[in-house]
Amino acid sequence: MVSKLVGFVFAVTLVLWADHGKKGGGADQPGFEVKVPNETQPPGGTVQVKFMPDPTSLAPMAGGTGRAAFDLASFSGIDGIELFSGTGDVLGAAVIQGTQVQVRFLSPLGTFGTDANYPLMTIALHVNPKASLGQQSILTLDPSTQFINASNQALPVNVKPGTFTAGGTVSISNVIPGGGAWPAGTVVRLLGTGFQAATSVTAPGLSFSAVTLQSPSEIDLTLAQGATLDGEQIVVRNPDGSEDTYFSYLRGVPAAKSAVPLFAATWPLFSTLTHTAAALGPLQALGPGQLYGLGLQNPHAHTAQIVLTLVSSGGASIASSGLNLAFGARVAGALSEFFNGSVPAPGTTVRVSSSVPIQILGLLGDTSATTVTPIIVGQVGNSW
Amino acid sequence: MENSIDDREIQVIRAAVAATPACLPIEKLCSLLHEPRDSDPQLLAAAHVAACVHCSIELSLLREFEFPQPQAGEEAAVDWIAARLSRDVSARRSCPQIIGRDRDAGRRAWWRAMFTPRFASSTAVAFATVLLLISAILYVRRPMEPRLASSPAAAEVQRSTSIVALGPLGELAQRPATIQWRDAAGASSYRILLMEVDRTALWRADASGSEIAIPERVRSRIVPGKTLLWEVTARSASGSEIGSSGLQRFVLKLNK
Repeated sequence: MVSKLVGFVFAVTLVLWADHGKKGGGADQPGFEVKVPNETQPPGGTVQVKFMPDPTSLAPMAGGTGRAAFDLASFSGIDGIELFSGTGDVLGAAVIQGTQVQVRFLSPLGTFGTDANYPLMTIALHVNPKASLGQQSILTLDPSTQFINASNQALPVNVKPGTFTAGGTVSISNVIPGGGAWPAGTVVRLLGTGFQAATSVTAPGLSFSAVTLQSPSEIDLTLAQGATLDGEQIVVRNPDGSEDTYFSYLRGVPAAKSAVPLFAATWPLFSTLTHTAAALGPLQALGPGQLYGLGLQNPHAHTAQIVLTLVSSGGASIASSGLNLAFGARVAGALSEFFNGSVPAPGTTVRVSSSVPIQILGLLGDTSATTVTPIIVGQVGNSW
Repeated sequence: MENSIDDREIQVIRAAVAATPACLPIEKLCSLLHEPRDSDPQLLAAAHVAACVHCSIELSLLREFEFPQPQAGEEAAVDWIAARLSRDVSARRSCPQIIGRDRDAGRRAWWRAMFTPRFASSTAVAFATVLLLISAILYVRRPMEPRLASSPAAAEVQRSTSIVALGPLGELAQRPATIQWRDAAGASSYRILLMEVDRTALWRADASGSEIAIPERVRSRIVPGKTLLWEVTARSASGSEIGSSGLQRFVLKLNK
């Protein structure tokens, strides 16, 4: 009986194996496939480069690193960068130098790379006002970009590049508030260029009670019902056929600039999960050139009153400081900058408490390698 | 900034994702999943998970395994696997308390007699099991178009809390204007997801009550003859998922 069963299973295995090999299933291909859609935006406008997952590659990713560099003739700077996942658990840090960016990120729930409806990452580039119409540029990632899957294996990222063409008449540069949950009646500001009275606005996940053209650079959208704006797709289209697609996110405005050049060049990429109490630490002893940092961002409508407390390994309070962050404001800097120049000792823990839920991210900078690694903060009152 | 492949770069992230001596064993993660977090050890464990990528992912995968949500098109494969895998294999990947619920299963499992030493050596059984696993994986990974589930709501899925779905369900004469469900105990908010049959998300929204209006722009995508799926998940005040309606299905009647 058993020998028959084994023989049957063996035969089925061989048949399926051969069938699988013939069809050349995408899942057998090494690496994670990413596609970059083509973009057309006018000089002086903004292009949101979207790195979309190929549906055949969808799989939970725990983290990764990436690099990209963009043509200076076409682009004059990076206006924003964001990582997306279905549950918003992905967090990271981007070091930006001109039109070059290096990203390190983590997805603690492994939801990054599992949703074909969201880009994995977007980079908003300011189109060089001096770019000539028809001028083209390749949109891609550096071949060194790699993801880490849920089994902690490194996967190369294979990118099908897109092409940017300077042209068209309309572009979206920012959405305010781009993230967070907002009630009906909230006015969402759509900023950009080339808006007209006949510009149409569509957003599959949102409904609007009013769409008001304020100026060629702003359209106000009034929410007809409450909505969470993170990752919402918004499309504008002019009568001449020019159109732009934008995935919204909260692009924090720096409330202060770090005196540490590495952190001044760092764009903290926050998870959409928020905390009113969290802890970073116990801090480890660091090597030469390494230093801890902290990123804070307030997605809440009210100003956040934030208290930072440095606690010894025995639980004693060593130092504390406070700061206020208005809606949409963010800060990123070395820990010592939050504690009047005192460098927290190994073994200590930084506790953060806030009057309203805020986004909190730990940072580990390496000034010699010019890299910043995100660190998850321990949280209280939230269960991942 | 150099453009060459830098292995050290990815090693930093691999190190951040790797397990540490402080990471929780599977039993601890199971207890976080099934027991209240009201004791010091539980709170300490939860605090570790919150700050640890490795344990967060392990817990997330464990939650997926313990409270599975079979995708449309996967159910036949899931049934096929479930009917053939031995309970010992699944036991290694489940929480102890779940296994305990089926302690009388041996009386029902007539086929287990085939795997007793009286009939076969343990080597043959292990070999057959491995081949079954390979066959199942190959079968599941075969590229094929998504299949319409005959009755997703009827799938046997264990959940922490079951939310009663009120509508839209089944064949409808008119486009639904709302999605409705019954309140779940302990829920402070709900997340609603409307999907194509291959689970491509059409619309997602959050609600605090037991009903949500479908935006006009989304309603316009509900066309006759096109089956859509939806699911509501309940969240506690702390944001953790505490229950689900499972996949529900509806279709607008074709015009005649």
